[in-house]
Amino acid sequence: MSEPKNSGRARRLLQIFFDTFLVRNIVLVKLLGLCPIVVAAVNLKAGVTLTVCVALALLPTAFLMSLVGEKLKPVIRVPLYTLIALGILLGAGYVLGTYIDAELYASLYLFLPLLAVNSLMTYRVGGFAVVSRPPEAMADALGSVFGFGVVICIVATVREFLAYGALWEIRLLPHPPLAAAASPFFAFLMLGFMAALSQFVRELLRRFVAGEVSVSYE
Amino acid sequence: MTAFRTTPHLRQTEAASSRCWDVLIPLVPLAVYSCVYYGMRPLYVMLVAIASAMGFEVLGYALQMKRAPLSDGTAAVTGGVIGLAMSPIVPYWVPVVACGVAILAAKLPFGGRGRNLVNPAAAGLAFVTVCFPTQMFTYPDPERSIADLSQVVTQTSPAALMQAGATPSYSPMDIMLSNFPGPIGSVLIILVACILYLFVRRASSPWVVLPFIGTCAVYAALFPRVSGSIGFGVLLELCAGYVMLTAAFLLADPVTAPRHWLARCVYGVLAGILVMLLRRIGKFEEGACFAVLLCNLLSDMLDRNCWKLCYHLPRRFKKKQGGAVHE
Amino acid sequence: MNEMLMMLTATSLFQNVVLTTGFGSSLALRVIYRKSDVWKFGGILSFFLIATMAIDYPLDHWLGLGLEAKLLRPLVMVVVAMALYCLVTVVTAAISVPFYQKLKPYLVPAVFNDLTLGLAMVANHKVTLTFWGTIGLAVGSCVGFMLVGWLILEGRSRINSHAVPLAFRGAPVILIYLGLAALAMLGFGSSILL
Repeated sequence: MSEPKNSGRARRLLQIFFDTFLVRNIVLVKLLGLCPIVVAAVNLKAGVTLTVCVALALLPTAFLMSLVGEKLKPVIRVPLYTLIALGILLGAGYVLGTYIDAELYASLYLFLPLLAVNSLMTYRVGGFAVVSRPPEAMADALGSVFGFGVVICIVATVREFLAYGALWEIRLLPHPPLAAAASPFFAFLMLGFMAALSQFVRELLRRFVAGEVSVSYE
Repeated sequence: MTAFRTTPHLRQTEAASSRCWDVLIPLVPLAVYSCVYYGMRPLYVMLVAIASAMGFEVLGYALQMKRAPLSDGTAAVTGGVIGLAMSPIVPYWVPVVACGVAILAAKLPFGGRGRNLVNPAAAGLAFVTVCFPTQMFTYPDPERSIADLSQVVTQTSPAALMQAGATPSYSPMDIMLSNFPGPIGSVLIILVACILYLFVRRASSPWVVLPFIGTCAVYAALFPRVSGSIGFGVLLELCAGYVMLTAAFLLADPVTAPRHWLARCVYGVLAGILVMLLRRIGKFEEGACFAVLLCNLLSDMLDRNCWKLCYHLPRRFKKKQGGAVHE
Repeated sequence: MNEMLMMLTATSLFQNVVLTTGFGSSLALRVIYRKSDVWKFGGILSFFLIATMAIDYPLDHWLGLGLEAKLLRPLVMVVVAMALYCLVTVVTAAISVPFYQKLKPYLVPAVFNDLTLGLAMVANHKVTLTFWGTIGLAVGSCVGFMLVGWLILEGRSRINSHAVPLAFRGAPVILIYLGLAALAMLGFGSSILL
């Protein structure tokens, strides 16, 4: 790889960020991290908490793996980043449960450790960060966090409104309009339509730009 | 991918569209018969369902910048079947929601007419059954008028009674004439006539329908849920809910059912077992739409394997025999 | 034994673990591209899941129901699964390198998926279930996962047509297909896992 100029490098980092975040969204196009969205994202509070926890777990592990990942064999690497992520998430869970919101922790108790073994981790940390340099890895990890966060928050908002008639636990409607929205099939259908919308917009953009939009590195 | 395209069946889109008008005709007597008991409301429910299904079809195609092929009648059939499975006093928005899911989620994303993997009407019904079970399964007393919706006398349907372990007390004649609380299209005699008409017009396949009804009947006879004679139990199981409606309109839909005769038989039997099983261990008093969805997902696999079974096995067997003679 | 059979049929068929809870759905979508993948991945997953649950069962009972146990339980399970992963890697690489190379692409997804399904079980059921019930739950989850993988494969090959509108081609229509399959499963009632 030839030495890129400073501006070229920044542009590439931005490109990686927006690619994972919006253009080829990590959830809607790459189909990663579906489980927390389908099961846990039934209210906005949970959605935001899960996003924060993904950020807490993904950013340090991605940074670490981009630094030392290639020097380690997979047999050490995989347990290492999983255990680090799990440690962070359990710590975050402890803090959440004791200092912030015990009720929220009780509903998310299962999903915090599950984030550590989510496909987001295997593919972004174990797949991308290991073979990239730290800036690229961080751009990708940030893009993943934002991409995941946007999707989970949209799904969580819609589902909370439909299933409980509330928003951020503030009751807006006396009766929930669609109680079954909390079940997984609704999230699958909703993700399908969101993915279709994003694909539609991408197709429109491609027609406008008529050039290459994304870099392919997968 | 090409391996799947070489199977002997083709998507019979053109034939399917001309058959759809044949399916629309039998919907008329069913709706009219229901009006005898309940006044004009069942007809309105049907019309709302058909109109909304067509409306969603137009909307869906408009989003793709295309003109909707309304004249093929598939959207109208979907709407009509959804309407028939509704309770006569259902709020009008329930069939509208069902049609929306049927057309916009189960039909158009997969490519529209003749390409849908699952029966759109079944998907729509499953959605409203899961989301609004109270509205779906609240039935009026057929003896009284439902002109004023605020003073309707509701009754527990036979399907719900059987699920609770009780035996409904209706005479066999009442059951056959649909003189019990149930969905709009539940009158046995006309449904049987419809099924025969569809057989004659080749819009439905006996290979699916007869094994399905047979399995349901045998299952009901072997594991009765009601006290009394076996015949009464079988009659009750077939008439309660919308099993016969499923047999006539949902299951044997030429687009989603398998094409091979053996696959059709297996599909029918499987659907029959699932329908009865869902009544026993399921959450709702009528789960036929879920059974149809599950069987639709399996229909391609059944087709492929039954084709293999019927064409490859005899050939291999013959080859072996031929080899032996040759030696 | 009865409990084992009940758990097995429940998690594999009537309340399919992937369709009614969504656990492991993204990996099922990512890893499975051919028919052989379903069996290979499913086999490795079953091995990991059953072994993890079997080893984890006594440890879990030893931990008990205290407040620290709630925090430690996932950790114990992850450590067990990771140790198993290291063991399998080292042993297969020592025995036969070509075999290890074949195994390698499935290994990490399988162990992660094992943990996803395993942690889901730990939370609600492990303490109340007998040993055989736990094993039944594990086997049932694997069978359920394989069934869904095979269903996705089936769907992919059928949906892959030019009739599908451009916006829906690829990922969206697969997600809708999964949604419809999950809807079909809902007739059997709500989940036992969560």
